[in-house]
Amino acid sequence: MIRVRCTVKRGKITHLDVSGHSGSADRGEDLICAGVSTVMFGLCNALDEIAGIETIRVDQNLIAVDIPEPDQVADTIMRTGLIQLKTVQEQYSQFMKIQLTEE
Amino acid sequence: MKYTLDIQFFASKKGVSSTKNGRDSAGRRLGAKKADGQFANAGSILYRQRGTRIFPGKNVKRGGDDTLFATASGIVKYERLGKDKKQVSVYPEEA
Repeated sequence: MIRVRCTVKRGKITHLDVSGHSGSADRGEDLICAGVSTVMFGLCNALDEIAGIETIRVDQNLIAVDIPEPDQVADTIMRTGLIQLKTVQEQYSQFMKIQLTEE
Repeated sequence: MKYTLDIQFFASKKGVSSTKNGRDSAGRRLGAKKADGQFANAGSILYRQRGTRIFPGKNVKRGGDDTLFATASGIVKYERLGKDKKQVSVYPEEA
């Protein structure tokens, strides 16, 4: 199960992390994982190149983004990423879970 | 691009396909605990089994789990019972 945790503070996304294994198929054939990986690496590069965000951690089966004070651009990119993740989760909820926390 | 796409980043480990098998219970160590001709004290276990592979003979009783045990001290004897069955008996030694 891929787990997505997202924290929203004063209406803006300040934290997003994705971890785990999809487990929908073996490595090399896992389509769910391919979708989520593409969204997350695209999000990291967009945050880096467009919004200059560097607080991104890529670890074993974990990608975490922390933006304590997101500006409008960074927030828009993060919202886009979250919507893309929701789009996958809607169809494959048995392999992916999204947890949203409002602070 | 700073972050190189690994399109299987959230996949399980390399080539490990999930299987529903791979479990087994520990061996129950069944079978004979006293050999033919061996001395057995009263109450000692002679044969552990599931069902009656071996039937209780003289001075032998069957426990709740089909275990055969001696009800008298003596020499253990494995014998035929009818055409195709076996039994175990305990014969007290002559004084």
